[in-house]
Amino acid sequence: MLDICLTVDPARLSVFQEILAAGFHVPAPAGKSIRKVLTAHIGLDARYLETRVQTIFLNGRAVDDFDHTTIKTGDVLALSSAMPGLVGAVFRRQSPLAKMRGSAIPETKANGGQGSVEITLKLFNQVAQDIGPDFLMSGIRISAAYLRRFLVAHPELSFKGVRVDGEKLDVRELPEILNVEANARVRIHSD
Amino acid sequence: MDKILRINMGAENAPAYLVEPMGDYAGLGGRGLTSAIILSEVPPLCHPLGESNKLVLAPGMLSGTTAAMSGRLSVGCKSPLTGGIKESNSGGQAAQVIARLGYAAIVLEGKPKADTLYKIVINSEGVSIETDNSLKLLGNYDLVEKLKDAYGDKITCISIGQAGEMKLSAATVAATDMETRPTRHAARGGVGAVMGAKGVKAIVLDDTGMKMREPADPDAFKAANKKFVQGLREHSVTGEGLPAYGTNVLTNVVNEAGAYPTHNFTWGRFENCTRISGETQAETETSRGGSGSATHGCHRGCVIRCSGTYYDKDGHYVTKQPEYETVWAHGGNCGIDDLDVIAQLDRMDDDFGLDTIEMGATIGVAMEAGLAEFGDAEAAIRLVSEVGKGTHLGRILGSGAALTGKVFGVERVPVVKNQAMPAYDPRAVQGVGVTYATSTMGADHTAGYAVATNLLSVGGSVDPLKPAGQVELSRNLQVATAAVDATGMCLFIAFAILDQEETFQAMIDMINAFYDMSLTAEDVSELGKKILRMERDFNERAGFTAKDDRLPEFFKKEPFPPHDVTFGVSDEELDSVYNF
Repeated sequence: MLDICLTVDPARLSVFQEILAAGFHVPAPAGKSIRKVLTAHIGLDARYLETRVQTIFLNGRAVDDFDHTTIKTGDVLALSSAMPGLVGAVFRRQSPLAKMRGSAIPETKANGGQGSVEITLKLFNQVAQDIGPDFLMSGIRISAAYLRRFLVAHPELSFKGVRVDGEKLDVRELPEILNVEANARVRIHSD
Repeated sequence: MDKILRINMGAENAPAYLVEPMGDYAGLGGRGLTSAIILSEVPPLCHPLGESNKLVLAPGMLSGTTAAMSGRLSVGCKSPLTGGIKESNSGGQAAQVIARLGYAAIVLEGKPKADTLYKIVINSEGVSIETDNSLKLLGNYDLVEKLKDAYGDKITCISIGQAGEMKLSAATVAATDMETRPTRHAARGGVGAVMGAKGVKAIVLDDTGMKMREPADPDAFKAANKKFVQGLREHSVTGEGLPAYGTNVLTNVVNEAGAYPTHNFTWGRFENCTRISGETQAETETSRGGSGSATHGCHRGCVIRCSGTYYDKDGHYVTKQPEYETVWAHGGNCGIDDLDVIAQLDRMDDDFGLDTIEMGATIGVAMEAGLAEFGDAEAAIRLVSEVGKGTHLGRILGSGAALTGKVFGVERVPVVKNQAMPAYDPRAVQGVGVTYATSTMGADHTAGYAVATNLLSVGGSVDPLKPAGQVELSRNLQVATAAVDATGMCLFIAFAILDQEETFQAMIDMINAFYDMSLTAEDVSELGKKILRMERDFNERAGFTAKDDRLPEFFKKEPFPPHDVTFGVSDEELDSVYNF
């Protein structure tokens, strides 16, 4: 796996919210509740999770009870703050309007499993703004192909520094290198 | 705001006007007033473009005051798109200015006998109605520039573009914003076609010399307004999410839920949605800079400021920040993932005077019909251009998704009562499907939007731990929304109202302090019910039956990926929505 470190202007850090929204891979203990995974393993503050993370999706299904909903490998977990609009309200945790989702899409519960698994984490809106920079600085694992597409779609991005596996590199060479490996660990530094 | 201005465009020698007291309409505003006038005065079986139809422009009960968020303008008529009653509302400056000029409503009646175009000028001196054929087939942007040259920068304009003049069913009524740009639209249901049928290209408003409307109890009003504003600022949606990202913040979330209609309602996730999300849009706007880029109000007195201004890569103004619905309609629904293209399409819609939801849905149907490939941005621009030019194809497209589907033999046409659905698939959010199906307005996400269910106690209080059924919720939401629409308040206040009882009470206190009334939550809900009953009554007499309260068949037949769900609410349940 490629280890990529990009140094950017702090003013442009928010452009990487697009990557956080598309999702990145994180290891997590299987069979644990979403609350446990997010607080004990990923390190989210319990109060932050309770108050700020108002909307949680597990594999595209809104989660109301994150104490009894557990994760398994391959799960996609998405975190959002409270959203506007009727539909935004409908998908909120414990929403009085939850019934409007319809009975056809039940909440996922008790997947079970043991050991360490890999899940995809997506961060949206204010949640990405609040905790995204920490993830970006410490490094996130994403598909190399996705990073390549992202860089091609943002030709306006200029980097103060690019390092691949510790070696300095010209940013123009990066897309080519990203063709070789399946995944990349990306760290974004701003100074 | 105690009088109605009636303008008879079909008067014997030339259009004539009359100012009259409110009479039986006293106490009504916004949607309450437009629907009351349409029900009482418009024959339900009349042709929407004929002389018997009326176009009613009504500010809300609190418009023209210092009340925050009170700038919505209701536009009512019999809809050329749905054939039923229509109330379409808009932000911008118009509601505040009309109210300060003292009018509770402007009613356009009759029909000119000749093919003549008029502009109406209303200011503190009075009203003048002038012939001006030089305005023919101008887009809204050029039109407003011309009117500013003639009447100065301080005017507010209500206008139609080419689509309204051509009387197309997707035509809007535009209202100018704080920068006197025609960016705010009463967009749904073809209200612009009715204005076109009246021969009115523009209404020029100037409230110079007029004062804010004075409340009966200024101190109580001021205190309630302060509390109301505080509640909006403290709430995470109205105080943070909407100002930072605008309504387009919903893109990622609705997409994640698998409820984002993509490629003409074929599946529920758009692969490239992060490229057009609110987060990406805000970042793009902020990095490009410019005045009012990512956070901006659409009228004075807005404290949420969910709008913004979209500039191109070189810093040139393109349009206002496209809304979630617009980004979806012209974006994911058509497979287009380029915000610059979407902004260009939004600008074209605003200029021609077209409903962005109807046009995006229509282009989606056209793509399904093979007129273009999904994802072909240039083709989408070309198709919308056809509407502005008024070609035969353009007139078909400008008449909406239902007609376009018929002409090109498409089965998957996402409409109810001929009006295109907005950006939430009813299979993935079934309660919204109930509202789409049963709303008096046709498929409309805002018809059941005011999430004040618990506080209004409509049809009984809803226990948050024991959610009511989706039919009951849809009914309650539609009642609450109708009531908020009558106040002239922006529906986005609803988020703070849902969570903060004191903010809801502050809104009622403002109305009471202004009018020296003692309204209760029950009275507000009764107002909402009264409005819905009036609208339902009109539609029934216009020939609507239970079969019009249905979603298109494909929603029941085609499983919707990724959750592979179909719409499961029974016809019997849909028919029970109006049991109140």
